[in-house]
Amino acid sequence: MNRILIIFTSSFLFINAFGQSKFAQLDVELPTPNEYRTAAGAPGHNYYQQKADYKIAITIDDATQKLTGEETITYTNNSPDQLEYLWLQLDQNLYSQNSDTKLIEVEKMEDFKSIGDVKKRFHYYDGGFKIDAITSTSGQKMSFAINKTMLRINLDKPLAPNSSITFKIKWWYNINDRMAVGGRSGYEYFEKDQNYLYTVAHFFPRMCVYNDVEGWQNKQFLGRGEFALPFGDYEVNITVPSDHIVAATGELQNANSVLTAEQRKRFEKAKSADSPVLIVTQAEAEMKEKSKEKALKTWTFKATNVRDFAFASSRKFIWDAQAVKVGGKNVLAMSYYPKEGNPLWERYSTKLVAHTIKTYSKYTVDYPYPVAISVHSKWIGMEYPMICFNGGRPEEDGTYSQETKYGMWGVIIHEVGHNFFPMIINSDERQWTWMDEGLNTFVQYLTEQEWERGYPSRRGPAYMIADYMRGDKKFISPIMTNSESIFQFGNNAYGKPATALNILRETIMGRELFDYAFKMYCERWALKHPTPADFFRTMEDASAVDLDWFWRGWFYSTDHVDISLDEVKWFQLNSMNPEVEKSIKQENEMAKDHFIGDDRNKESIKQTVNEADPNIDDFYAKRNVYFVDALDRKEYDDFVAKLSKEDLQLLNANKQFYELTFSNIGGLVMPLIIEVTFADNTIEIIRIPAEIWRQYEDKVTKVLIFDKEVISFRLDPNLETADTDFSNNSWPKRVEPTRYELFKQKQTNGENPMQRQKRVQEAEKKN
Amino acid sequence: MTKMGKTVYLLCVLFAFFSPTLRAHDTYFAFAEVEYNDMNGTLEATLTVSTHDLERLLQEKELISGALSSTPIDSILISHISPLINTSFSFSFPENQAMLWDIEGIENTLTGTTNIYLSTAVRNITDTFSVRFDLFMDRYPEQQNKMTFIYHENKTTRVFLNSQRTDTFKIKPI
Repeated sequence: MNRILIIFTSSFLFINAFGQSKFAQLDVELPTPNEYRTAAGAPGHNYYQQKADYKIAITIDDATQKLTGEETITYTNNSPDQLEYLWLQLDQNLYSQNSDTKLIEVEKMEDFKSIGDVKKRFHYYDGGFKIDAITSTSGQKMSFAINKTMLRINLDKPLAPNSSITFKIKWWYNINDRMAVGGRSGYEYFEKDQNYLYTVAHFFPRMCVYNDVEGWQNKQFLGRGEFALPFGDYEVNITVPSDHIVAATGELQNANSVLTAEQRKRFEKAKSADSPVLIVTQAEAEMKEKSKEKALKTWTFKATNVRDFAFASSRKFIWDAQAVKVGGKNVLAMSYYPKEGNPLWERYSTKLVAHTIKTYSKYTVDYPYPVAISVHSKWIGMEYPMICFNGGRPEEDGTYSQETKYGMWGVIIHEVGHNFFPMIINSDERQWTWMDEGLNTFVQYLTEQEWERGYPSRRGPAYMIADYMRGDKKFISPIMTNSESIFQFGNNAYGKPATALNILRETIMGRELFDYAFKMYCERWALKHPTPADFFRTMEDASAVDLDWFWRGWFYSTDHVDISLDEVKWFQLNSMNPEVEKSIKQENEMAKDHFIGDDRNKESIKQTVNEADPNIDDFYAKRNVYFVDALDRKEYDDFVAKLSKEDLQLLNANKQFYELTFSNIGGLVMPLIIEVTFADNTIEIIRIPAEIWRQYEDKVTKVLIFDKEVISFRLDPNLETADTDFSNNSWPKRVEPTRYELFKQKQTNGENPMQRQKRVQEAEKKN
Repeated sequence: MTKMGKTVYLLCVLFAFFSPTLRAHDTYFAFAEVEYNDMNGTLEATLTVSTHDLERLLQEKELISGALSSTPIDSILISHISPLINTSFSFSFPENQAMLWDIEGIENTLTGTTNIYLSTAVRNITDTFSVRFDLFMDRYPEQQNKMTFIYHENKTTRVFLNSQRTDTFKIKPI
C-alpha cells in the first residue's frame, strides 16, 4: 500500500514540475526582438514609420447629402524596402452593394418576424466610394485595382526607400443616414426644423500602414476592427452652406473668412479662458436653423502629425470653448452641439474634454495637439484625432435622468480619451481592438474617478467583469483575438483588459510600479505604432515584475478567477508541559459530543456491577489519565532544560496555527488575499502573491500563524481579483444572496427625479 | 432546394444590409442569474441587460419615446417588456406546463445596465431541463447571453448565441 502511494505521488509531482503552463514564460508566443522593436519593448535603433501627407478639398451638398472630394497624397517611404504598389483604405465601401460585411452576417428567418423587420432591410442606400480618377501630379492616369474595401495603386516603378510619391484621387459618395443605416459617421436629420447635422469621417481614400510587423496592413474592413493609419500632415478645405459651423481635426486657418467679428472676438477670449466661453449661442443657432443659406463657404483646417482627419458641420451648432494647460501650453477644449443636447452639453461637455485631456496627459503623455473637440451625435461614440462624436441626449422636455447624464459623461471621457489610444499611441485597431479600447477604458476609469468621487464607472473595477468571465468557455475568446473574431466584443476588448490593468495597478504591481511602466510604454510609443509585445515587454522591463503568467492568464486564455477556500485546520503548539496539556486533553474529552444512549443509561441504570463490587476495578479502571505525576514533571523539566531562552518563549507564546487549503476552480491564477477576523474582532489582511500556484496550479495549502484565535477567513474581501463565485470564499461558509433576493429587500420607483421635481413644482403652482 | 427556399435565401442576402456590425458596439449582452427556490416552488431570476440595447429596441418599436431611465416603471412598461422576455427566455421541463415569467421589478443602474427581476411558479424541478435564452438576438445578431443556474448553491453557467439559442442543463439531484 505504501509503495503504491509513493509511486502515485511521484507521478503527480512530475506532472506538476513539467506542466507549468500557467507560469511558462511568454517567449514562444512573442515575436523575436529585432532592430525595429527591442526585447525591452521599446522602438529599436532602426525603427521606422511611413508618412502620408494630404491636401484635400471636399464639398457637401446639403440638398442631396452628397460629398465630393479631391485629394493630393504625398507618401514617403521611410522603410528599407522597395514598394511595388501602394494600398489605400476605402472604408465607405462597407456600404457598397457587394460588401462582404452584409454577406458574412449570420442570419435566421427569425430575424424577419414582422413586416417592420422586412421593411427595414429594404431601406435602400447607394453607399460606397465612387472613384472618378487617380492621376499623377502631371495628370497621367495611374493603374489601380479595387478589392472591396482596399485600393491598390500599381506603380510604374517601385518606390525606393527614403523617397516619396505624390498622386491625386477624385471621388464622391452619398453620406449615410446614420439614424437609418447606422455607422460611425453620417448625418442626422432633424425633422422639426428640417436641418442636417453631419459627422463626417472615413470620407477620403486613406493610406494603409506599411511596417516591419505586417508589411501592408490591408486586412479588409468588415465593420469591427477599426483602423490602422500612418501619421501625416493635413490641409483640408471643407465647403458647406455658408451658415454652417464646422468643427474639424486641426486648427482653423481662415477664421476671418468664415466667422463673424463677434464670433472671432469670443473665439480669442476662449483661448485663454478657464471655463467655457460661448462662441455661438443657442439663440444664434436657433436663428440660423430657420435661414437655410444657399451660398457656400470654405473652411480651411491644418493638422500636423495626425493619423486621420474628421469633421462635423451643421447650422444647428452651438459652439463653446475653453483653454486647458498641458505641459506648459494651452490646448483649446471645444464642444459643438445642437440645442437638442442642452442643458447637458452646455453645462458639461467642454469641461469634460478639458478634464480628460489633463488627466490622460498625467497618466500617459502630454497631449501634443492644439485642440480637442466633442461633437454631439445621437446614440454613438466615435473617435478621431482631436475630434470625437458623442451621444447623451436629454429628453425633449429638457429633463434627463442620472443614467443619461453618466452615460454622456462616460462617452465623452472615453472618446476624448481615444486621442491617446490609438490616435497618439497608434496601435493597429484592425488587429487588436483591446490595445486601444482596453487601454483607453482603463484610463477612462482613472479619469472618471478624478471627475467625481465614487463615480459609477461602467468598467474597470474587478468585480464588474465577473459575469462575463465565469463558467462555460465555449463562446469566450482570449483578449489576444483578432477584432473580427471576438465573442462579446465589449466585455472582451473593453472590459476585460481594463479590469486586468486595474488589477495590475491595485493588486499585482502596486500603483508606483504600474504607473511608471504604463507611462513609459506611452512615452516610448507616442506618435509611433506599438504592438501587443511592445506593451507586455515594457510593463515588465520597466517594473522588474515577471508578468508572463499574468499576460498568459488574462490575455491569452479564457480562464476565469474562482479560488475556493476549501478547508481550514486549526493547530496549537504542544507545550509539552503536562499541567497544561493534560488539562487541555481533559477539557477536550469533556467537550466531546455524547452518545444519547450513554446519557440515558446514566439515568436508567441505577448501579453497574463494578460500582457495586469494589473488586472489579483494576489498575486501568482506577487510573486517572489526566493526573500529572512526578515522572511527567521530571520529563518536562528535562525537556525545558535543553531549550534556549528564545525557544522557550516561542513554546509558551500560545501561537495559533491555521492550515488553509485553496482550490483554483476557475483556472486563472491570482494572489490569495485573505481577510482574517480574530476572536477579539480585530481584522488583518494577508496578501500572498500569485506565484504560490507556480508548481501546484490546482490546489495549494498555506499555514498562517497568529497570536490570537481566528473566528473567520474570507478571500478577496476588497473585490480586487474578479473572483466569480463568492460562495466558496469564506470559512465558516457564508451564504451569498442572489441579486433577486437583494432586490426583494428594497423598493424602487422608476420616475426620473427631475420629472418628479417638475410635478412637485406644477402641484405647487396649482395650489 | 425548393422554389420557396430559393426565394427566401435571396431575400436574406438582399436584406442583410443594415447590420449593427457596421460599427463596433461594446454592448450586446444579457446575463441571467436564476435560482430554484424549492421552499415556495418558484424560479427566481435576475436578467441584467445593456440599457442601451433594451432602450433602442423599445424605441424602434415605438413603445417608449425617450430614455428608458426617464420612462416610468409602471404596468405599461412592464406590459411592453413582458412579451419580449417570455418569448426569448424560457425553460422547458418534461411534463410541466408552459411557464410565464412575472416581472417583479425593473431597475436601471448608473453603470449602464438594467436589471429585470422575474419569478415563475414551477411545481417540480427535474434533473434535466432545457433553456431558450435568445433575448435580443433577432435584433442584434451579435447578442451573446449567459445564464447561471443556482440550485442548492451548485452553479452551472451556459452561453447562448445566435447560432445556439437553446441549451440543456443537468443538475445534481439533492
